[in-house]
Amino acid sequence: MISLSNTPVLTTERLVLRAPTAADWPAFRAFMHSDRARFLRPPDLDDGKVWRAFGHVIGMWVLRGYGSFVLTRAGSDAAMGLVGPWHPFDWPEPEIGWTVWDAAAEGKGLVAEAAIAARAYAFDMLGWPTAVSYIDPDNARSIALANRLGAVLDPDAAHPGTEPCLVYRHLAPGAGA
Amino acid sequence: MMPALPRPSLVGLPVLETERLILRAPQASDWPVFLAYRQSPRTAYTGGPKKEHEAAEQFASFFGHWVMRGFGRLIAERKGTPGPIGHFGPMQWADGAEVELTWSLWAADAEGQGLATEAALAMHRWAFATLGLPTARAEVHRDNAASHAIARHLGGMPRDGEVPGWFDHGSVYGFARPVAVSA
Repeated sequence: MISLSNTPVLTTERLVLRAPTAADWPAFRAFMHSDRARFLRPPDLDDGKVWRAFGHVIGMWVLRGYGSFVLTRAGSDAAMGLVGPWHPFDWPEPEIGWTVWDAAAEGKGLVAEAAIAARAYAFDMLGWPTAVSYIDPDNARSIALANRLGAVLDPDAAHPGTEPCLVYRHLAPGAGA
Repeated sequence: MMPALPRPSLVGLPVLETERLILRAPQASDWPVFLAYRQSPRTAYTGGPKKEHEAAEQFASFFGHWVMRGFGRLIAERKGTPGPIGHFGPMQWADGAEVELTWSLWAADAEGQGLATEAALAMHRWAFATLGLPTARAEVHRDNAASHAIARHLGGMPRDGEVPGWFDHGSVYGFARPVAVSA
């Protein structure tokens, strides 16, 4: 059994956030091929690209020393999505990202609970003074979550990839604006 | 002052030793060397040169491959000379696909000494001994003479009628399971 070592586990009232494992791959693949991924799926997506994308998620834990957490309910190890610190090498700055693979995770405040925990990890443990969330302007649910987290639109911030993209900014407690 | 966090890494990987080389787990410190290699003309036969983000996704997926498949590519270092010189290992890109044996020498100054062949032989032996593969394959660009030589040295046989998936012109080699394999 091959795994990542030295990865943190975050617990909240209802959730456990952990590093990705091989068991998460089918759920990630199903998500990326589903309509739920319509705001982040490239037009030429195929299984090979999905495979590499998940490998990228895992590998960034080693290359950066941190990475995106898999979102699970306490008591179940089933992956429901990804949240947290994410900084591909060609992105202008680090992101607090979230993707919700399982519709059952919606509407209960679970993703906000996870994002708050992951953001606190980035600020408190990784020492980030700020972070952004890149969001498609048509992704109303994601915009609502950014607002709920207290993030504010930063119209001057650079963003990766293709237009259109909104940049919501999170500030660490005590960090200057 | 932030607390010093333990650095995530891959655990459970084998270390292969040959006469002149160590093949060990990929690690974060290999990334700048891999990037320089992937942006160099040396990768002309393997789909390169690549942009930084493409190289990063590829290198990150080395780690993901180990986690998802339980096997993957190892990094070769010369004994007594620290620093990665290339990657060698079995790869299974699609679920259920025939495993592909891969070898790439990153460092030009490591060429011409049989090091890639030495590493590829150890990797081939390990892959068949531990993974229970019925067969394996390798894809070699038409003009990559050094790689054709390695494929033949490992006992690869060109497969008629099969074309590479990674580039337009080249050969697919098939590898049969050795009659007697041992770890």
